Amino acid sequence: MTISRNAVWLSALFVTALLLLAVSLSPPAGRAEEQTRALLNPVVNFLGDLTRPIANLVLHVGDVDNLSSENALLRLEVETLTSELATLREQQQTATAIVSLLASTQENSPDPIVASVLVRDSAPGRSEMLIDKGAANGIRLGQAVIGPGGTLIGLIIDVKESHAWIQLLTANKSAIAVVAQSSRTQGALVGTGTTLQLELVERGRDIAIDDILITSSLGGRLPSGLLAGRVTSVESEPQDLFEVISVEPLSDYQRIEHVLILTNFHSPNRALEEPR
Amino acid sequence: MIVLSLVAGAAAALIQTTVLPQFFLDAWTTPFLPAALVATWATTRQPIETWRITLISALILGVMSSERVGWFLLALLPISLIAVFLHEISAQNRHLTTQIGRASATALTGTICYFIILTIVAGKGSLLLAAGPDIAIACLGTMALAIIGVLAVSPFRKKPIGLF
Repeated sequence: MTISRNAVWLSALFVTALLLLAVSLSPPAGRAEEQTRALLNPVVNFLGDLTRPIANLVLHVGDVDNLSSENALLRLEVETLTSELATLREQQQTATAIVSLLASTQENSPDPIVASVLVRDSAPGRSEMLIDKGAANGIRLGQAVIGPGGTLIGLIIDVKESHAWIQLLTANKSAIAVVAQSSRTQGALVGTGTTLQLELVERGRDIAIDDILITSSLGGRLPSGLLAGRVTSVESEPQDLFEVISVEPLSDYQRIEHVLILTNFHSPNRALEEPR
Repeated sequence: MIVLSLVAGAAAALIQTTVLPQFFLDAWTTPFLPAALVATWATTRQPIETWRITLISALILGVMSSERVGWFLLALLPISLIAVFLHEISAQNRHLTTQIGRASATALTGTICYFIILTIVAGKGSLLLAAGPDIAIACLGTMALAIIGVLAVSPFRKKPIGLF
């Protein structure tokens, strides 16, 4: 008797799963999912706020010694950077004058939007994050997302009315055009699921460990000059056509709580796709 | 008990999506709390009651993910199925060590099934081999949670009445 009841449950849930898969792409299902998510948001925020300090304490309790030495190094770096800053301020004044001239020739564009990260996708193999801003706030597909330190962390891949999903640069399907800041060597920054790789760089090109990669305007998807990653290793075999280049993100994607979405960049590709 | 199982399933899924990612920075190594709950529940009560835990957990995990809800339900079904199977083959043996073994086996195989199914439907089956050691950590964590659950609940369970 119990076996037959279990068989009924199994069959019913299997059919339910298939039905859910069949209707999941329809707009009403998307709306229902979004409403449920909105309903759960207060609980999610409460649990997140409650456990974040505890998690920080637990994860960093053994790091006090490392943090002290790191702090000393950072102080030294701050002093160096302060002197560089003075030089840059001088250059900035000149640049500001030029930018204000350029701005007067462009149409008014909205400010970047600040959004909070609600959830990191817990499904295995997913490098995505849910944010609390959506189409109602001006978020659109393909917009660049900036994380801590002003670094590019990903792109908007799905937009609902009040929420949106960010695909991180480390995601398997992610690929953007980048250029090495010092040597101007171009390549494609590709996600491997857990980390980043710089591809399509021919052997012998000028690229080295610690080179900073910034976004390129090539392809027209992203504004140029956004920080994207740092080269950590460059390897190749004599028979290889391209270098095998590992890249690390410039910010810790796992610890991001707030992001900035660049809404004021209009891709030329999108402009071409729009009906005239 | 229906309400309690639904609340427990929902709580497990919410903790899985909000609390655990803060302690386990890599999704591959994160223990799978709904599997631990199903394993504990099936061992200390009746496996048939775990189907509704599976349903509510899958719905919440699916809503809080960009993956489709249906895939989560399919990925969670094997956990209850394994719990039912193990209960059927060792139902007579109510010794604590047997129960711990049954809960561990359910948690282990259920978590493996969950990872395999969701990774394959995400189109990233090739990552499974490389992520094997990380998945093993997640499985051990889930097993540990299931064992702790059984040990915590077992003192409160009614002992069968009989001469022996």
